[in-house]
Order: sequence, then C-alpha cells, then structure tokens
Amino acid sequence: MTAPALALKASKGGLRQRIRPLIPYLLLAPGILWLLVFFVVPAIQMFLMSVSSGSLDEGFKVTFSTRAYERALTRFGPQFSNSLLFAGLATAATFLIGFPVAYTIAFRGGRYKNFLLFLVIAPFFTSFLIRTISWKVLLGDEGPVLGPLKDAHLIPQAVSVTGTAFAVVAGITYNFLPFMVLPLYVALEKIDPKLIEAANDLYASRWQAFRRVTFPLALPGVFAGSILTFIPALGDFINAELLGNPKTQMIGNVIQSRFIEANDYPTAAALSFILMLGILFAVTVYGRALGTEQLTG
Amino acid sequence: MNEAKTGVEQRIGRRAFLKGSALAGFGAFLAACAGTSSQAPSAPASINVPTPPPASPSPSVAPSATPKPAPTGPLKWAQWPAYIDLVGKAADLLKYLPGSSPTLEAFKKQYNVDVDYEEKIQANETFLATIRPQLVAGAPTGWDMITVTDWLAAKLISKGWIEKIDQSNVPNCVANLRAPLKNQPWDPNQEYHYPWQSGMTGIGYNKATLTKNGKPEPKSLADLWALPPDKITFLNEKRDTFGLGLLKLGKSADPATTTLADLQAVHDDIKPMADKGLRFVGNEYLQDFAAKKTWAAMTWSGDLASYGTEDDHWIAPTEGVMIWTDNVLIPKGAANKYTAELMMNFCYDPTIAAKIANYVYYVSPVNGVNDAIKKLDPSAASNPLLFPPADVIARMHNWQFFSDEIEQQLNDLYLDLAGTG
Amino acid sequence: MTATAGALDRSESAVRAPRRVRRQLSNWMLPSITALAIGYLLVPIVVMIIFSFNDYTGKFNFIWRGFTLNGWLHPLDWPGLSDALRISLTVAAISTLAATALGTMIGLALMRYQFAGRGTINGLIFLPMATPEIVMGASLLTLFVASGTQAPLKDVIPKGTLFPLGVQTILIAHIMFNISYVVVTVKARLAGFDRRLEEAAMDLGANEWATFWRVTFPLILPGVVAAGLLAFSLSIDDFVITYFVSGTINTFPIWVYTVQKNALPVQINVIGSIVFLSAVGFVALTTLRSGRAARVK
Repeated sequence: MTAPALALKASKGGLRQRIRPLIPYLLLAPGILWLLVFFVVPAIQMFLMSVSSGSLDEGFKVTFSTRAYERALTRFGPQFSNSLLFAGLATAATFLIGFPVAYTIAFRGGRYKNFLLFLVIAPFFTSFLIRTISWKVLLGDEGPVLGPLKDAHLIPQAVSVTGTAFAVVAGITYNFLPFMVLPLYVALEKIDPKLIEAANDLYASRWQAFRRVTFPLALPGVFAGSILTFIPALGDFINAELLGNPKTQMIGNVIQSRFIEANDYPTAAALSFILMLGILFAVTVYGRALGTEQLTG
Repeated sequence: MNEAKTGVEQRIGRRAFLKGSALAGFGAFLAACAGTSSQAPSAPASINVPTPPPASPSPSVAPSATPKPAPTGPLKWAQWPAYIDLVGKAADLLKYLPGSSPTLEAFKKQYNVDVDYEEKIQANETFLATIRPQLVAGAPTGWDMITVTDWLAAKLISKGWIEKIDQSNVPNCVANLRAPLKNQPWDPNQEYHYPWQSGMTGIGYNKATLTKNGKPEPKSLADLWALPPDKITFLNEKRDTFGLGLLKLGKSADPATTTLADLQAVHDDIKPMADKGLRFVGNEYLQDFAAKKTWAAMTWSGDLASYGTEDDHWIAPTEGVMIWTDNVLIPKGAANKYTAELMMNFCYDPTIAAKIANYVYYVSPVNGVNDAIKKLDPSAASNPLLFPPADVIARMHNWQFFSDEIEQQLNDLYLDLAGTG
Repeated sequence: MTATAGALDRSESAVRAPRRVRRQLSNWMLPSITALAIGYLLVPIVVMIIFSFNDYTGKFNFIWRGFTLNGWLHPLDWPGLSDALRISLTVAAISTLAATALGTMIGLALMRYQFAGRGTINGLIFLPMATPEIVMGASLLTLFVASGTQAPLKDVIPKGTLFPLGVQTILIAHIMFNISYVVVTVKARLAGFDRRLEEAAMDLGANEWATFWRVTFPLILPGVVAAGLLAFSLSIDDFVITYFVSGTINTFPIWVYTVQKNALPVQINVIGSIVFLSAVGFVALTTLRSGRAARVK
C-alpha cells in the first residue's frame, strides 16, 4: 500500500489521484471493520471466556484454566455423539433423497425444471420454526396422522412419533433437504449429456455410466451439499427441542441452555469452541476424502 | 379420616368442586407453612438461608411526608402462567390476554396507568438467567415486578438486587399479610418482598388419557413412578422433583436432615426413568397436558384446576406434598417502582385477593380472604386446593434452603438427570 | 402432484439417457422419488395453511375441529404479535440497507481492484457463512454480556451501547451475518461484468463518480437487489442468533418460539401463511413478468 501511495504522491497528482489507490481500502473498511468487531472480536472474547473461571455474579477471570473444557468433554459426551450421529444420519438421508431429486430435475425436468426447483425451495418461504412446529402438529400423538389410526385401533394408543430420535433426524433431514438438492442440481446441470452418451456408446452399462461419469462429475455438488447440511445440522437445537426427548438432546441444546438458562458461560464457550474445531476438522478430512479440497478455498 | 382422604383424592375438575367435609382449611395450611419455616432459624447452622444485605444508609425517613407522585407505567410484571383471574376469551383460551383480567383492569382504571403483565416465567432458574446479567451489570432488568419462589427471592435479596419496598405505599400489605408468612429469616421485616400465592406440588393427570391407555388414576408417587417414563414429566424445579423423590423413597423432606446420600438415592431412583425418556419441564407442562402428550406429571396444585381441562385433575399423593410460596419483588433499577408498590398494595385488598385466589386455586397470603372467598363462592369452602384438609396438611413439606454442599450436589445430580439442566 | 409426474414422463422424450437397461426402473422410480420428496417438503406448509382455518378451542391449535375464518379475520390477535412483527420488519429493513451497502462496497473492492490482503478478506467473508449460527450467537452474547459485566470491557464501552441487549444488538448481529451473503451475491453478479463499459464511459469524458453511478451501478443493480432480498429474508427468518442477542425484545421468530411453549395460537399459522403466500406471489409475479419480457423481445 505504501509504495504506490508514495509513487502517486511523487507524481504530484491532485487529491483524487492521491485517494485513488486508497479506494479499495475505503470501500472495504466499513464492512470489514464491522466483521472484525462483531465476528472476530466476539470469537476472541469467547475463547477467553472458555479459559476463564469464576461465575457471573463474582466476575469471570481469565486464568487459562482448562476446567471448562474438561467439563465440556466429560459431561456432555452423549450430546456430542447425538449431534454427530443425528447430523450424520440426516446428511446421509438428505443425500439419498436429494440425489434422485436433483438428478430427475436436472436431466428430466424439461420445461418444468424451474417450477420443480421452486417447489424444492418453497419451504424457505416460511419460517424454519413454523415448519418444525408444523411437523410437531402433524405427528403429534393425537394429530392428523396418528389420531385417526389410533381411533381406528390400527396402532396402539401409546405409539408416539414426536419425542423420539427418529423424529429429530427426520426434522433435520426435512429442514436441510433443499440445501442438499440445490448444489447437487447445480453440479448435475453442468454435466454435458453427451459425456454420458459417449459412455453408453462405449458399451458402459447404465450403472457404470452413472458411477464412472455422472457421479464423479457431481462430486463438487455432493461436497457442497453435505457441508451445507452437516454444519447447520451439527449446531441445531430446534429440532431436538421441539421433536425430541431429553435423551435426544444435541450439543446445540447444551450450548443454548448453558448460556441462556444457566449463565454458565465458560462451559458454553468451551462447547462452542469444540464444536467449531470439530467442524473445521470434519470439513478438512471430508474434503480430502472426496478429493475436492480446491473447492474449500 | 377415610372420608377426608377420599375427599382429597376425588378429582378436582375445573370449576367443579367436590363436597368434601374437611374444613380445616386455610389457617391450618398456613400454620403448617409456619411450622416448617419457623423451624428454619433454629435449624443447624449448615442450612444456608441467605440474609438481606446490610442495611444501606438510604434515607427511608418519613416517606409519607412527601406527596405521592402520579404512578408511571406501563408496569412490567413478569409472572408465571395460570396466576391471575381471567374473564371472556382469555378464560376460554386459558391464557392471559391484555384486558382479560378483572383485577388488572380494575387497577388500571383506579390508577389510570397501564399494566404490561406477561406470563414470562416457566421456571425460577431459567427466568433468573434472563435477568442475571443485567443485575450483575447494574442495568435495569426491564421488569418492574417479578414473582419468584422463596429460595430465589432470598437469593436475589441477599445479592442486593432487589429494591426496598416503601412500606408507606403498601398499607394493605402491612396490615393484611398472614402472620405465619411473616418473619422469614431471609427478609424478616418484609423490606423486600410480599408473598403472592402459596401452593403445593403433587400429581396432576389427565383421566381420559389414562383410562384410554388402561392405566388407573395415580394415588401415590409410587403410582406416578410406575407409569411409562416417556408419558410423564417431572419438574425442572429441582426442589420439587428431588423433594417428592425423597418422599417417594420414604425419606423425610426436611432440609435439616437431608444428606448427600439421600439425594444420591433419589437420583439413582429417577435415573432409569430419565434414560427411558422422562422429561423435566417447567410450567410448560400445561401445554403437554393440553396436547395430551402427558398422561400424568408432577404439577403445582392450582394450575390444572384453573387453566386445565375437565379431564385434568390434581391430587396430593399419599406420601406427601411439597409446599412453597411465590413472592413479588421489585428488581433493582425498576422504572416504575411506585406503580409496582401500588399493585402489591392493590392485590392485598382482601376482596381482590379473594377473587384472584378463587380463580387460580392457590392459597392467598392475605388475611380475611378466607371469609371473602366463602362469601364470593360458597362452594369454594370445600375446595381442597384453597382449603387443604387436615390429612393433607399433615403431609406437607417445605424444602427450600440447604447448605452450599447440598445445593451443589442437588445441581450436579439434577444436571446429570436432565441432560442439559 | 400428478401433473408434475406427468410432466416428468412427457419430458422423457427429451432425455438422452440410454434406452436399453432397466428402463422401467428409472421411468417410474426417479419421478416417484422426486414426487414423494417434494411432497415431504410441502406437507408441513400444507398443514400450516390448513390449520390456519382450524376452529379449535383452548390455546392449542393441534387437533382439527372444523373450518373457520376466525384466524384470518384476526391475524394479529395475540399479545405481543404486532409488536414482534413490527420489530422484525424494522430490523430486517435497517439491517438489509446497512448490510447491502457494506457488502456491495466490499464486493466492488474485491472485483474491481487489486490490493494486498485479498485472500485474508475472502477468508473473513467466508468464515461467518461456515460458522454454525449457534456459535455466532453465543460469541456475540459473550461479547455483549462482557461489555456490561467484565472488568476491562465494561469500563471502556459506554453503558447502553452493547448491553443491556435490545434492538440495537439484534441489528448489529443481523448486519454482521448478512454482509457475507451480500458480498457473495454481488460478486456473482459482478463476475460477468464487462470492465470495458466503464473504460468507454471514462474515454467519453465521464469522471469516476459519474461512471460509477451512470454505468457501473445500473449494471450491478440487479445483483444488489437480489442481495438485498436475500438479506431481508435471512434477517426476518433468523431465530438462532437473534435468540442469543435479543434480551427481552421479541422478533417474530422469537415470539413464535416463546409462545409455542405454552400456547399454539392460530395466528402463527395465519402469519406464516401470509408470509409464504406473499413470497410465492412475489416470485410468481417476477417470473411471469420476466417471461413476458423475454417473449416480447
């Protein structure tokens, strides 16, 4: 920055000339400053909190104590594994459902492509919370599905869908399915049908053509879709809260309740940090495994 | 004796009172409260009852000398669900709506000030967490008046987070507070708090749902424990859940005798149920009852009678009940302190207090309510929620204040049961 | 749904996929899976709309009891709802304006100028999108609470700016998470931007300022509008971050979350339906208009 600035000063340009090299920085400054103060600084603050001891009443002191991390790791094992399990299952489920959908729309949507895509993103036009509540109503013990079945004595009275791990995974799957379909669609859409034709001409079976040509070309979409699903699913607490039971709580529920219901900031901060590190680790490993690391950059 | 027992265990439908014979009632209930609370000062030193902060040299001199200002508003009151009288649509909806409470409307009219009454509190601790950062920072909480249970009231007062009540603004409270509720060690002179309602923690259940699923109506805590864990709820109010847990195991729920081992035993008793889906909730249980999600639960005595349906009932289990008092306090930095005091005073008018108590089915702390309720609604005299019969009084337990050690253990064990606590 | 399935069949002729193997399977399987998946995505919305006409009693709109227009005739008839909507709209409007301005400036700087530190800036833009919402909400709350209660910060930061929480902290958070999305959207639009147009304008004697407003801005305007719409919808639907930083203020999602704990008023369904239908209407209208414009050309 200084070098060109000096050069310009030397060329005795007017005010405009001197400001010119500063323009990109002036454009960047307000927004970047905002992100620094309200994204980076809070992250640092949270890290300091995670190595603090004390209580809200007495005041927290940065002591570089690892107690909060020990507590976070030893006490909340089940919730961590729930998070990994549910987010993993839901990501797999969104892939299994989302791939055929994206494939169908991309290759067979015809002139209804846009309409079908619109249907896929339609859920985004209502609030996340309301959709989840809607599931709760739909699958409630006396709701429109179970109620009539129970009244007809087709299923036992005691059967519940809500308040189970299944409901939580189904809820997460539901809420993040469009995040999987859209990148998959974008990736599949780009594939030249002639490539698949060529494979067929070379006597590849339909399955072989898919496995050797279509799927590898769709990998960037698979990567993006699963990241877009897995990360928010891992930190989610609404599905577990509205559709689950105490045994299906996820790490998001713990962070939420430690922060907001217990003012136990160090533990909550430590949990958040572990979650963040876990995600970075998972994304890196996953990117390597799929051979798509160039995408993360 | 037998007669009285069946009386209590008869179902108490909404607005439908049974014809019990026990008239032991109100005074005896409070006497029972007093029995335990007056023990507290003489209890072992390990019992940690928070005490008010040392008197600050704030001049409380002759407040009556100055003319009273006009009340400011809106009065922001954080309250529990099912804790005020309602009429009209709100009464059908079983939820407070602005303009739906005769008491609050009368107050607004009399003082020409608005009241922002919100059913914001589902549990003491979760509510505390929402105001604590502000209190620590010395910033206003946004509330002018809050309603919390004894143990939390004591804690807030001891931290110096509560405004001193100007007694000259609350003559009704001074005159009408029932004697047994006075002299609490944590605020012996009512400088910071006045009781709102007292109640019991027992078993609530939906008869229709239980019958449908071929289960008998519970009579004891053991019966409650025997139901499918994922169809019942306990309370996230640790004192209630562990208190009833002690009674269920046949241990006494007395702060002076409770040991760490006792708490561990309760934990071990409940843990298998928690593993099978038992949930710990606050006042949200009203929603679960409405959604028929819950068959039976630990609930507070008045709620289901006032805000539940015809099928919802409450009983005092044979092993015993927990009792407690919720209190109104003015948090530090309240913008409308004077209006809050006026409200306290207003609700301590026996006729107003009677109207509230006879709607919410909790026990009023106000002298003279006894007679006022009976005048208002002769059938209420036999309501065991308002006038607990002698055998229930004999089974009441007050378990609010412990040593730090017990409290810590209680927190840890509860956290382990409830997952996130 | 049958119409969609039919559309998929008809478009079959256009597909270049191989014809021999297991044709039946893909003929029926893929469209069926797609139809089912889209059904899965739409069911909660249909439930939401149907239950907005439910003539229920009590506080819980859980069980179907018959048809009524009551909810639609009294869409705001629940305490706190109109305030919450007002705050949601205000916050969405202000944060959209601010984030769109800040984000567009960053986008311009990144696309039009060469400068040192570009990689770092890109990373800083990417990070908020890759961070789970709960972590961002938690870290902001840590900063805000610390600014009111912790030793170094509470003496530096004036009381009332960051703590106690309020509308201002919600705005701070919404602007923060919206900036990245705006940058990405504007950049995507600028990617196809022909720099020669600007050069031509300058050659014709326009100064930089005039060139920007007369040439550059109109060209990127669609991208800016798209970014603004995205920011608006993200802001109005945000629950998790807002939940951490809102204190006693209710936005619409916070209101829904709080209310559903002890009631489920029909107004949730009505407002949800209104938002959904107007978003759908908006999309349909713009699609129709652009379609007609294309045909006219």
